[in-house]
Amino acid sequence: MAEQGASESRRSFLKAATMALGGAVGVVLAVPLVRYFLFPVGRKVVSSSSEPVDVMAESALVAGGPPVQVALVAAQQRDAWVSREKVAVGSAWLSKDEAGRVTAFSAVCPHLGCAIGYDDASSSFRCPCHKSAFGRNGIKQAGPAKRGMDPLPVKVESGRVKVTFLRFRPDVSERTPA
Amino acid sequence: MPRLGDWFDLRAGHRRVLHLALDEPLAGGASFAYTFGSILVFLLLLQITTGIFLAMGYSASATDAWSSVAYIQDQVTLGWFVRGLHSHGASAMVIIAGVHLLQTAVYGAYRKPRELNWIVGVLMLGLLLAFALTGYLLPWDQTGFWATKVATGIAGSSPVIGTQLQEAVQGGNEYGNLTLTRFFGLHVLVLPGALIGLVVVHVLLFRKHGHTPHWWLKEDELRRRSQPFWPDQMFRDMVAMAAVFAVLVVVNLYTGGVQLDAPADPSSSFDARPEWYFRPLFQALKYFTGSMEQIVALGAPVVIGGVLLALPFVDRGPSNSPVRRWKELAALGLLGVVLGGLMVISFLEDKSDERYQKAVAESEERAREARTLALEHGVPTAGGPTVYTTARFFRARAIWREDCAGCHEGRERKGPEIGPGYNSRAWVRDFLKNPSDKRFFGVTGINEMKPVKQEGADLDALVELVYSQTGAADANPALVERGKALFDGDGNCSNCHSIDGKTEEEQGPNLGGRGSAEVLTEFIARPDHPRWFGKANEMPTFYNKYGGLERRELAEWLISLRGGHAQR
Repeated sequence: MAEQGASESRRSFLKAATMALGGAVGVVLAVPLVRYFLFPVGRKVVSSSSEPVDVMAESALVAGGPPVQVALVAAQQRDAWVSREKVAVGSAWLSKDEAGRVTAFSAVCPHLGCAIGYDDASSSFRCPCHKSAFGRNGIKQAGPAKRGMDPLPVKVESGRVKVTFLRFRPDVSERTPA
Repeated sequence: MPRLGDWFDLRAGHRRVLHLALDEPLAGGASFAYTFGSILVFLLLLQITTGIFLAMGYSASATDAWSSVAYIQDQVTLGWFVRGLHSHGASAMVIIAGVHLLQTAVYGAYRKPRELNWIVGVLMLGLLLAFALTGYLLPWDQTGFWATKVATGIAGSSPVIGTQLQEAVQGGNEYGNLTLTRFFGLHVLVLPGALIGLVVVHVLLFRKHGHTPHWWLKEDELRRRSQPFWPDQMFRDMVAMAAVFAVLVVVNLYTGGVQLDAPADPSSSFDARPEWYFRPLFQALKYFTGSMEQIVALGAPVVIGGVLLALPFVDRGPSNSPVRRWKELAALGLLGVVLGGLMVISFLEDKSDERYQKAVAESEERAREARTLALEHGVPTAGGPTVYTTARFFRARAIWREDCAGCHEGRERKGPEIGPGYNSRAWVRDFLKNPSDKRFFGVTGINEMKPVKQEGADLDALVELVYSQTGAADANPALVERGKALFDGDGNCSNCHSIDGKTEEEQGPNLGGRGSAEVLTEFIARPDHPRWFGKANEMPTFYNKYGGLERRELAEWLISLRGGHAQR
C-alpha cells in the first residue's frame, strides 16, 4: 500500500511537471508571436507625402458651377516595404463660389468612409452606401452621418489649385484627425 | 468543477477520448528512446504556428517577396526571431526525423507487422525535404533563387517528361511570379495538408501496433515493468520537447535568426549553396559529369528512398536484437556515413576555398547594403535589386563608371587621378608640389605648370586657398587670406591663373570656385570653356549627354570623395 501511495504522488508530480513545462514552452513562444502580431498597432505602416497636391488650373473651375471631383495624387508613399511614387490617396470635390472662392471637400464620407458622389438633379452630395446627403456647402442634410463633409485645405498658387489631403476619424461628430 | 466536467462529458464524451489517448500502457516502461516522434509532432506544430505568422507578413510575388521578408526581418517586432525559429525549426525537424528513423531501425520497429508505418514515415521524410526545398525559394534572395534553380534544373533533366515537369513546377519557362505563387501554395497548403494527413495515419498505425519495446527484456519482464503513457511517457516527451525548444531558442538567439541574402538578381553570377541537408547530393554532383551527373542527381534520391522502403521486406528474421540484424543496420549505417561524409567534405571544401569565402563576404556586404536601403527608403515598385537605386549617389556612381572611370581611375588613365581624397588638402598639396606627376597632368598634354616653390607655412597657405575654393566649411580664413597674397605675389600664380571665377582665356584655368558643386556641375558640361581649359582641353564635353541635375549629383558625389583617404 505504501508503495502504491508513493507511486501515486510520483505520478501527480509528473503530471504537474509535464503541464508546467508545456506551459513554459507555450509562454516563451506566445510572447514573441503576440508582439510580432501587434507590430502594426499605433504605427504608420502606410505614410504618404503630405504636401499640397496640384490638381487643376484655377481657370478651369466655373464660378457658381457644379463641383468637380479631382484625384489627390501623393508624390511619395511608403506602404510597408514598398516605396511608390505618384499614388492616388483619395479624391476631393472642388467648387468655386460666385465670389471666386475655391473650396474643397474630402470625398470620404464622414459616416463610414464610402466615396461621396454628386447629384446634379438635387444639387447635393450623396453617399451611395447609407444615403447620407450633404449640401453644396458640405453641411449635412440627411442620413446617418454625424457631421458634415470634411473640408480640405486648399490654396491657389500661380493659377493652380492645390489641395492638401487629410483623413479624419469616421462616424464621430467632432472632426478629429485620423 | 467536477459538475462542469460531468456536464461537458455527458455531451462531448471527452473523458473516453482522453482515456483512449493517454492511458495506454507501455510494456517495459516509459523511455527517452520513445520521445522522438513526440518531438517531431511538437516541431511540426511550431513550424505551423511560426509559418502562419510569417505568412501574415509575406507577399508571394517576384517584385515583393524579398522586400516583404526584409520587412519581417528588419522592421516587424521580433520578426527576425519568428523567421529564425521557422528556419532553424526546419533543420531541427530534419535532424530529429533522422534520429527517429535511426531509433526505429535499431529497435526493429519497422519490422512485421509495422511495415506500413515505416513506409508512411519514409514518405513523410520526403515531404520534409519538399518543405525545405519550396521554403528555401520563398524569400527570393540570391541563395534561395540560385540554389532552387539547380533543383528545378535537375527536375528538368528527367527523361522524357523533363521539360514539362520543370515548367509545371516552376510555373512556366522562367522563374517569376508563378514560380513563387506555386512554391508558396505547395509550401503552405499542399504539403502541410499531405503531411498532417500522413501524421494522423502514422499515429493511428502506431497506436494499433503499439510501440516496439526494448529487445533485451523478456515478455514477463516487459509486463512487470509496464507504465501508462500518461504521465510517465508524456513527462519524458515533454522534457525532450522543452529541451529541443530551448536549444532552438538559444541557437536562434546566438545566430541572430537566419540570414537574408541580397534580393535575387538574375543578371548576377552567384555561387549558391543548398541547405545543409541537401549538401550530400550537391557534393556528389561534383564528381560526375555529362549524362552520369543526371543519372546521379535523379537516381540517388530514388535509390536511397528505395533502400529505406525495402528495409522491412528484406529484414524478416525472428529477432529484434540489433546484433542479429547487423547486416541491415550496417547497410543503413553505411548510407548514413556516405551522406554525412559527403556533407562534411562539402563544408570543408568551401572552408578552404578562398575564392568562395571572398564571394560569401561580398554577398554578405551586398545583403547588408540592400537591407539597410530597404529599411531607410523602402523598395521601389519594380522590386528586388532596384532597392540599390535608392542609394545616395546611385546615379552618380553609374555615370562615373560609364564615362569617367576610364580616364580618371586605374593605370590606363588619360586624366588626373580621382578617387577617395580627391580635392582634400593632401591631394591639393601633392598636386601643387608636382602638377606634372603621373597622378595628375603627367598623363595629359597639359604640362606647362611648374611646381610650387613655396614650403612650410607658405605652402600651407596656398593649399588652403585652393582647398577653400571647393566650398569646404573647415577652410581657415586667415590662412586663405595669406594664400591670396602669395597667389598674387611671390607665388607667381596669377601670371597664369585667375581666381575670380569670371576671367577667361588665360594660360591656366580660372581657379575660382574650383571643386565646388556649382563649378564642377558646369565644368563637367564644358571643360573646354575659355574659363577653364579652352583650346588645351582634352576631356570630352558632357552638356549633351547629361542634364544639370545629373551633373550636379555627380559633382556632389565627387565632393563626397574629399573626406576619403588619399590614394597613393
